[in-house]
Amino acid sequence: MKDQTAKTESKRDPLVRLVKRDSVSAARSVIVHAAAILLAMLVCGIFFVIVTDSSIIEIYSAMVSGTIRNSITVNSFFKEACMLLIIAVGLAPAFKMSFWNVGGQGQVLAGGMAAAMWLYYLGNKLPNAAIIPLMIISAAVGGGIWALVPAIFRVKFSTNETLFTLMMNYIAIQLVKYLRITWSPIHALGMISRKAGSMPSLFGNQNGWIYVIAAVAVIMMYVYMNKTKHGYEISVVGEAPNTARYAGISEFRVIIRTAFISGAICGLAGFLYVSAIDHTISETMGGGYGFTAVIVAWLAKFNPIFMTLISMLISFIRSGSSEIVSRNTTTLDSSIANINIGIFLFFMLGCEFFLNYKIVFRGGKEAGK
Amino acid sequence: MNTLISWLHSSIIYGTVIMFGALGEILTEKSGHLNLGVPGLMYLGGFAGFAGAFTYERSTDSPSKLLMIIIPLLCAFFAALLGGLLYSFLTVTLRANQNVTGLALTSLGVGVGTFGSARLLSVTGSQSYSVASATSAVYTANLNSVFNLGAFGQILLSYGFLTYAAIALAILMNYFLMHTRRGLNLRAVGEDPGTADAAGINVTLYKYVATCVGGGICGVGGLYYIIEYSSGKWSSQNGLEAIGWLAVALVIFSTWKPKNAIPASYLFALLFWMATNLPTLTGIRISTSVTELLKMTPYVVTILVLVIASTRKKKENQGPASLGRSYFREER
Repeated sequence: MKDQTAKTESKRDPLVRLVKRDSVSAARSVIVHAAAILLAMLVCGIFFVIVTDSSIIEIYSAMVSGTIRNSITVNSFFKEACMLLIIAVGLAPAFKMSFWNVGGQGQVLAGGMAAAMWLYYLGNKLPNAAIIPLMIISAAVGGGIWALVPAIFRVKFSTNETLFTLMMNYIAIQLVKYLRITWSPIHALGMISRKAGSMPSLFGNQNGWIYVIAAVAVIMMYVYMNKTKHGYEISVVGEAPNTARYAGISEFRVIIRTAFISGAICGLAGFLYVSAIDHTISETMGGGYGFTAVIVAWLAKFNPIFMTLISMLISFIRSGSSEIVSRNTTTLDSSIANINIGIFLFFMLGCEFFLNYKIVFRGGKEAGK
Repeated sequence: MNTLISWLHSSIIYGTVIMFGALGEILTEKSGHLNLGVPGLMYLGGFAGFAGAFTYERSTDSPSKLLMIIIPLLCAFFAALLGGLLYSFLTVTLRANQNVTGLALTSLGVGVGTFGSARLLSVTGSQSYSVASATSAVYTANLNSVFNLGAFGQILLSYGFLTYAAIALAILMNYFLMHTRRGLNLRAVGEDPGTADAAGINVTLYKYVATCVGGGICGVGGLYYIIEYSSGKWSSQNGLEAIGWLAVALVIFSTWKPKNAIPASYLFALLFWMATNLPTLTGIRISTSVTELLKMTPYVVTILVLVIASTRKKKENQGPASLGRSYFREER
């Protein structure tokens, strides 16, 4: 609309114009995000009303009660949120330096494979106290290598890392399928009864370690990104590569190092899947969180508190959706959660516009702030 | 000999699915927008086309052949076009990040496709998939079944009309981009929207149309996957997502030229089917686990292609200069 009207001088000013905002106040950010979340929940609710013939209040109360009904559902809610959060925390530094790591899935699988390798070869020969540290280290290294390879080519030849990391996902998937066949004894669920390589429960909670690791990861990443020289280098390389070069920051070293850390944390998530959740490896491990975590990290602008909140919201949508599915098993299936998460993400992405731009109507004030 | 023929046959069908995706994505990227939502768009198109075919088949006792072709085609095209519209509204008008929006579109599209298919399942009460067989028969009607021309016919003539339409579309799109004024304008928008804007080209309109039509083309690829490749069955665990990503990667392999997408798609499909066909062909026995390893080939080759493409910096083989960046007029 503005394109046509601005063609000639004689025409009037366009009806609507956009002005970029210089800064966003915290209050405005909160209001816009809250409005987006509410709208998204409303649309999800309406969607459920259409497909289930229940009233919207029934839908929301079912979503809440399905999440907090008992300790099992609450634990599952926190577990899913934490796994998503750990992967998002892993991806965040890569995005901060404009390295599009969409290979979270592959890095989770690589970490999972590296961890499961110990179970297969030494699962019943070593005590857990020895095998779990080995699993953790190799999972981090495995995930790290999976991100390191695209990073090296990105730095050396500026190869497109988005597609490279995507393809690494499929290579990992095929490797897992290969290992599942060759290692068939361990995916016969034998590992659970033996308790080999299983994370012990903490505070009497089976998922205790997952919560602790997620919390530690968030705090450490916050400190790393905001209070260390490394974190500073990451933001300079990401936002102004020329400045980085001028300041003597080695782009090669920073990208390689950050990509490795990013993959290593995703690999750690893979370890948790093997050791604390699935007790086996499968190519669907981490089901789609590699992509969802990209969006979580981006929406949160790499802010750990927002990342936690968004992960919890997505986990809530997931658990709430599965409650509604379980009440309507004949007509619905679990993929409905993906639709609702998609709706939610679109609203969150769209609302950024109202933070970055200001809409000025004809005759309105010019002020851009 | 039979293995070779079936290998080529399945590769051409599989390659056509990738080709539709790659062509749609080339058109989108020419406007400067990298849409990572291709898998989602293919799911949307595949599901909508399938649902259209299925519903129409059930609604009448004697379905007309023409409608059986038109209804699924329109459903697939416009469903994916709507997906493209959502993407372009967010990235063109609201200037959201393109990678992130594309990924969100993928998860939404995959969700809608899987959910919709489950709904259809509950309608039919069938176990693992439902079938639009009459439509599939119309879509796969071919010359070879009429004339029976042996190996020649099996390799070249045994496909439904959409297979040839994909090639025609690639040639047409090549002509459009390289030899028409609108094609030139579109390329200008993708290279430098600021300059195009100053030259009086409606940048927003071009971006919208290219992204939406590109999305629609991806959707036809999804329809082709369901109706021809899967013979009219929708199963919830299908390989459309991987095809979508391969299509995005293939755009780079085709160096953003639609005509290059034709051989590139077939080559990728040959690689994809290598794991199952080559051992039989050569008489080498391999275990099922090694087959899984061999199935990596198309992805490994994609990576090699990416690396080779990035080491050779020929100017005419590069993507649109503004690819991935939002255009905000007042920031020039």
